[in-house]
Amino acid sequence: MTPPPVSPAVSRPLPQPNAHEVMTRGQRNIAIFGLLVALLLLWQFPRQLLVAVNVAVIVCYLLFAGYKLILQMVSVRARHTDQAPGTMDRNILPRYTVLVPLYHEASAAPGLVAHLKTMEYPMDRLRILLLVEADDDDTRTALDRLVLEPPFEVITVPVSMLRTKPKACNIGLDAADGDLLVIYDAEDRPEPDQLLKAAWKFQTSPGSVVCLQSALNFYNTDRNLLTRWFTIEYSGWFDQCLPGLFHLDAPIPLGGTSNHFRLAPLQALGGWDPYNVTEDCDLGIRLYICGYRTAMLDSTTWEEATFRPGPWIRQRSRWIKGYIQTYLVHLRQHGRLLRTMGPVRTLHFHFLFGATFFCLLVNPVYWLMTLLWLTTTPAWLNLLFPAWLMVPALLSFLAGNAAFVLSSMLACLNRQTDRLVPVALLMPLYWILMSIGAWKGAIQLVTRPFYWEKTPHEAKSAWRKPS
Amino acid sequence: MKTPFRRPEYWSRGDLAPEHQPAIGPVQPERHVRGSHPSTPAWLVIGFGLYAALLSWFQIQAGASDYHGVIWTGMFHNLLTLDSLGRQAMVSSLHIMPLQGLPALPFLPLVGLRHAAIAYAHGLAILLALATLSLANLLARMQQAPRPATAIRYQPPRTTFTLIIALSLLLILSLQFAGHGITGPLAALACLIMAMDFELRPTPLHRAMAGLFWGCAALSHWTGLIAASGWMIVRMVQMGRALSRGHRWAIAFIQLVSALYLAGIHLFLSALIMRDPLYAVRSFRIPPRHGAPVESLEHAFRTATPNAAPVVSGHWGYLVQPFITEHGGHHVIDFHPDKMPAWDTRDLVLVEPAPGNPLVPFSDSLQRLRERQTNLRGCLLITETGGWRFYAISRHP
Repeated sequence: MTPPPVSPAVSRPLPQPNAHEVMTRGQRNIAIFGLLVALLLLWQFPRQLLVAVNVAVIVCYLLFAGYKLILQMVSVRARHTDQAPGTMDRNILPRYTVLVPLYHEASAAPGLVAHLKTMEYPMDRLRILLLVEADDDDTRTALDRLVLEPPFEVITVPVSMLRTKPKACNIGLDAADGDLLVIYDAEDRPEPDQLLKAAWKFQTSPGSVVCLQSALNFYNTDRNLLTRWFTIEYSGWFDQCLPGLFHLDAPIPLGGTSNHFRLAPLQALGGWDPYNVTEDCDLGIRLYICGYRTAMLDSTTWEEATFRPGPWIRQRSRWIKGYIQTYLVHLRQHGRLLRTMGPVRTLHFHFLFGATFFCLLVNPVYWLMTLLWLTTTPAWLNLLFPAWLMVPALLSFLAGNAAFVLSSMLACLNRQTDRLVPVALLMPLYWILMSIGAWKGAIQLVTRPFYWEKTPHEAKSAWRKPS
Repeated sequence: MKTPFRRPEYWSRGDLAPEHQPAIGPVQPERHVRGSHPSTPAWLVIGFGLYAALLSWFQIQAGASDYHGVIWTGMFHNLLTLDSLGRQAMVSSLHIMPLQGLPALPFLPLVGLRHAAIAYAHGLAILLALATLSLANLLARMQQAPRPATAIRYQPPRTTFTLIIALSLLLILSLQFAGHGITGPLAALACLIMAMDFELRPTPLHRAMAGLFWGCAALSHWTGLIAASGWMIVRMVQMGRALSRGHRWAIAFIQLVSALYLAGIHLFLSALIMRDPLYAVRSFRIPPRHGAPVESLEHAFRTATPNAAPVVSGHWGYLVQPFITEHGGHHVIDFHPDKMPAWDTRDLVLVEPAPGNPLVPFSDSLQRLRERQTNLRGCLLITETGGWRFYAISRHP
C-alpha cells in the first residue's frame, strides 16, 4: 500500500527509522522465507512442528508473566512522590508550550479550555496551541465561540491524506517555542499543578531526562463495567509497570498524552513519526536509543474512558497496530538496538512490544484449546500437549492468569479505588475484548496501515476529580 | 523564601541534540530506600546454608526414618519419569502436599534423582530461610512497642539480634521435626510465619499479599490447612460485619480470593487426576500418637506372600519400595486391581499398616477402597502381624 504524503506544508524530515514502510524488503523476504520453511516442516514433520510451536508459546507466556510480575514488584519499591515547589519567582519559570490536537472535538473544546485556564502556571509563560484540522469546521466554530485570548492560539493543520495525531503534533512542534512542551488530548483533565511539578522535576533531574510521563487515569470510572476494567488496566500500567521500567533504566513506551518534553532535544530528534499510529511509544524508544531518558511524574491526568465496546475495540486495534508498527520499525535496526541499549534492555523492548501483541493474538487459540480440553479432550489435543508439556502448560494457565488478575486487584488497592477490587476478578473477560482489538489491529495493519481510528469522546464540560 | 530555581537559560539550553552531547551513560534511577536490613541477602544465604546442612544431614544419616523425605524421593522419580503415580501422589493426601516438594525442583537437576531427598531438604531450607526473615520482622515488632497516638502503621526494621533469635528458633524446630522423622510440617510452618508477617506489614499491598502465604500454608500440610481455614473463617466474618467496602475490606477480599484460588487449584487438580476433588480430605487420617515402630516388614513380606504379588496402596508404598521391588510386587497410589500389568497373573496380596502403625495416615484405608472399587469384593484378610495386615485380592470377581 502506498503511504499518503504527510502534508505539502510540512518540510520536516521524517525521523529515522519510521513507519513509512510497514515492512522493509528485507523484513518481507525474511517473513516469506520463514513461512516457506514453516510450511515445509509442517508437511514433513507436522506433529513435531506443532509441539515445538506449542512449547515456544508456553515458554513465551511464562516468561512474559514472570516479567510483568518482576516489573510490578520493582514498581512497588520504586514508588515516589513529586511535589510542586511552594513559592517561586514566576519570572524564572520555564516557558511552556501546551499542544492540544483537536479533530471533531467541538463538544469537548469548551470543557478543555475551561480546565486549562485553571492550570496553576503563570499565563504569560504559557502558550497553549490548539491544533485544528483545516476542514474541521465544527471544532473551529466551537473555538470561535469561546473568544480565546492568549495564551490560547489556534493553529491550523493543513489537510492531507494522512490524518494522524503525530502529523498535527509535528506542526505544533514547528510553531512551539520556549523551553518545555507538553501534549494533552481534548478530553484530558490534568491536575492543576502538573506543569509546576513537571518544571520542578526537570530542574532537579539529570540533564539526560528529557521527557516526563504523567500517570493517566479516568474520571468516568463508574460509568459501566468496561470503564471499570479500563481504569484497572490503566492503574496497573501507569502505577505498577512504568515506575518499574524507569527504576530498571529500561525504555518507556510513552502514554499518548501528558508527555512533558524539553523542547530542544525533541526538535533535534525530529518530533513524532507521522506514520506511526502509536507515535508516543515509538518516540519513547527513539529517545532511549539516543541516550535520553524518560522519568515518571507523580501527577495524574484524568481522561475519559471509552465506554462503548465498539469504539473501545477500535481504539485498542489502533494501539496494537501501532505496537506492531513500532516493533517492526525498530527490528530493522536490531544491531543498533543491541549496541545502544544492551541485551537486557533490548529484552525489555521485546517484552514490552513483541510479547504484548503476540500474547494478545495467541490468547484466543489457547482459550479455545483449554475449553476443548476441559470438555471433550479431543485426541489431537493430546498430541499437541504431551505429558511432559502438561506441567508448564498448566502452570502457565493456572499461575500466569492468576498472577495477572492478582496484580489487577493490587493495582486497584494501590490507586485506592477499593470498590474496583472485586471487578478485577472479571478481567479475563476484558482480555477477550483486548484480543478482539488485537486481531482487528493486526488485520488493519495489512489493509489500512496508516488509518487513525479516532476515539469519540463525550467530554462533559462539568468535570470533577474522582474521589 | 524563594525556591532555588536555576536560571531559565537552563531549560532553553536543555540537553541539546545527540550530536552535541557527550556520550551519556546510563542514568542512575532514583533510589528509594525502604526499611530493609542492609544484609538481607547475606542472612538468606546463611539461613539457607544452615537449614540445608541440618536437613540434608538427617536425610543422609537417618535414611528412611524421615517418611516425608523418602516419599518425596519416590514421588519425584514418578513425576519426572511421567508415571501417573507421581501425579496421583501429589494430590491424594493431606500429609504429603505439593508445596512441600515443589521448592525442591530447581535442585533436582543438580543432585540427580538418586539423591532427591537432598533436593527435598534444600527446598525446605529455602522456605525456612525466607521464614527466618519474616520471623525476625515479627520479633522486631514485638520488641518495639507500638507508637502511641499515631494512626500510621510502622514496621520496625529487623536487627541482627532478632535475626539471630529467629534463626536459632527455626533451627531448633527443624531439629525437632527432623529428629522425629516428620519434615513435611516445616513447609507449613514457614508459610504460616510468612503469612503472619505480611498480615502485620504497614503497606496495604503487602497485607493483601498475605493471602498467598495463607494459601501456600494450606497446600503444605494438613496443619497449615487447618490454620488457614480458621483464619479464612475469621476474615469472612470480619468482611460480613464490615459496614462499608473500604480499604480494609478490599485488602481482606484480595487475601481471601488468593487463598481460595490456591485451594481451588488443589481441588481442580485432584478432580482432574483422582476424579474426586476431595479425595485427600476423604482419605485423611491423623497419625496415632504412639504408633508401633516400622519394623519386621521385610520378615512379614517373606512369610506372608510366598507366591503372590504384594501390592500396597497409598504413599507408604514409596517407603517400602525396596521390599516390594525385591518381591516383584507393585505399589499403587489410588489402588485398583485393573492397574496391575496384564502379564502378571499372580494373586495379589494387599499389605496395609495395621491401626497403631505410624504409617497408617500414609496408606489408603481398605474401607475406602471397598467403597470406591466395587471389584474389591474379593478382598480377604489372610493374616495379621503386629503392625501389618495382609489381604488377598481377587482380580476376577
